[in-house]
Amino acid sequence: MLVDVKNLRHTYTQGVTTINVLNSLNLEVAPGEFISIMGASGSGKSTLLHILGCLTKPREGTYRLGETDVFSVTSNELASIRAQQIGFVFQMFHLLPAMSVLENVKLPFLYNNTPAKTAHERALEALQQVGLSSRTHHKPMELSGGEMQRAAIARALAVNPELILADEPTGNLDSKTSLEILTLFQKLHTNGRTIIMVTHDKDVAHHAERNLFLQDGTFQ
Amino acid sequence: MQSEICFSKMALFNKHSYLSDTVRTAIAALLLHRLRTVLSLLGIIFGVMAVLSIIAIGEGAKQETLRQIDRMGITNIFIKPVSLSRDQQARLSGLHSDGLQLKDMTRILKGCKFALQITGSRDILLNLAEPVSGVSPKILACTGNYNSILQLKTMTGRFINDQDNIQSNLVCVLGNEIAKKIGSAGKVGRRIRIGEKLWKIVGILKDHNSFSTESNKLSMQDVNEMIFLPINSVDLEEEDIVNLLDTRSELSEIIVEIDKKDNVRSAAQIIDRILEKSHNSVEDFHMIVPLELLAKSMKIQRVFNLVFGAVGALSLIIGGIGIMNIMLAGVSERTREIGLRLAVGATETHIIGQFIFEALLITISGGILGVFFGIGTAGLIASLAGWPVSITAKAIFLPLFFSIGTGLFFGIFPAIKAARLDPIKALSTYT
Repeated sequence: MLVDVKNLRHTYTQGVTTINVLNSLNLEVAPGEFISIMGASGSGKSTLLHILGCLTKPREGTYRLGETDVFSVTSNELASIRAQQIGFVFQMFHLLPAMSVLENVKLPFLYNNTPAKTAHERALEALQQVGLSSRTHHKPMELSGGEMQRAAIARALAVNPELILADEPTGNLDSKTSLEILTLFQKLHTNGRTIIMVTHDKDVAHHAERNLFLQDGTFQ
Repeated sequence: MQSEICFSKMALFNKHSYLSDTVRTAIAALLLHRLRTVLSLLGIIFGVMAVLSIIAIGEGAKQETLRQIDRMGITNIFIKPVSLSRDQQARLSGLHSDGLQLKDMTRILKGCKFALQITGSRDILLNLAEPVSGVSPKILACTGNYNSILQLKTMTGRFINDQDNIQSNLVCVLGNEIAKKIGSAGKVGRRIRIGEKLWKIVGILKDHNSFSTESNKLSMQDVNEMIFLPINSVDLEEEDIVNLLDTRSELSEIIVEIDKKDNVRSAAQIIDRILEKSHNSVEDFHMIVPLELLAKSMKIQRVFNLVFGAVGALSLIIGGIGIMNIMLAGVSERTREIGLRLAVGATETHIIGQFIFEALLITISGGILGVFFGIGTAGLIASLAGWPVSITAKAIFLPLFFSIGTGLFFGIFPAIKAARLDPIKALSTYT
């Protein structure tokens, strides 16, 4: 298994109230799978994605990413996992406005010991995969919403990660552009990428190979 | 082994890209808010400028003092006669003193074991009998070793010696400037008339730099404008009015050279006791100890440096607070960027490095500008106020390093604050 999560439990504290977000959750993802996680707002799907992306530590449980026991490593090692093994795609794209598309795609390479020349080549390759080769030197503000999301996907792809995590990747896009992005994800899946996508939209979820529904902190 | 080398090369390459990104991001962030950056820069510029100018003025004053003390001789003790007021004379009630006498020199040499050599001199009011336009030399009668104690060197010929004094030779030595002004008549071997007598020129002094600070009480006489005669060759009666000080002193100055610096203070006490005894407790002399003047001057200098240095440092600290302010504003404005960088693999160290670099960029550029403005200010002070300034490496690098230290100190808190941000919260911030 690429992802092996067992008995995951996570809580939030809001004032004096403790909210159980994830409760005895188990998840196994094989390499090359394309999974969608659905759920109502506040069901914990984004929290799960953040845990899978090594951005949050849960209260309890274990998480193995490949051979690594994620919860037992240091914060620097977690940063290294994020830089080398995980690619994030966010709903809000999160491209840095002062940088060109190419520089945005090269951003993760700053933190994963990749020579500048290799980083440049791989970023161009990733932009080609998402069909943005002609927009490399444009600033994010000069792109359409779909192009921005494709640039964000290129950034996630460029480091050749074992796992791509997408948090509502079509949430800010119109239906036509959403379809383009989902087609792109399917293409990446066909090429052997492992993708976990969080969405609240049933139509979006159906583009994945396997659909999971999160309710009351666990999969139904 | 080879893989290790490859790895370190990769790390180096990557460091370059991280560094270039850090530099570019820092410049872009600072340029984004130009006015804010300039205001922060001003604090650092003024701080460095103030500290540099203060050090330059302090160093200049210190070097000037040291130069003067050095010319006087750090191991020398100067004794000068003091004219007593009528009240002081009335209070003496029968006590008698003849002022500074040649005999005092013998007593000091005998009584003070630290005295290496001694010389005495007298100001003479005689003038050149055939005045040369623009020439008004000061004439000084002295003992043979006057030049040795004050390290006066001759350009041609020799200085007055003991033989001249024993034989009361009518010889003289001209200061460099006087010799030039007199012209062909001022050469070694020629004779010049001073008072009623003809004096043979036996030597001409080298050019000795005179002191620039006229008001300083330490300033010696300008030897370039002087003529030296053997003290025994000048009859007291021959001088119209011998003593400028209106005392009965035979000498207008005694200079004692002490064997080493450590003994100067003890020697001064011994000489004081010897003269007190020989002058029957009449306080008609005073001692100038260059070593003590130096110590006093250095003490004043230290206080000056401390007070004004503190003002400069305060200015830098205020500048540093300004930097912290803009850094904190920067962290707030760039929260999402920080969150993204953390999400794609940046460590806390990367983020800290990035923000520290921004703080350093302000302080280093402010510091360099401050150094240039500081040098300009010091130069302006030197020309307007006529104070000696000395721009040493210390004057440049001390405020520069202090400003860099300020940047580090005040940049570290915002940098840590940025690095400790929760990436998820940071990414969901709307800024």
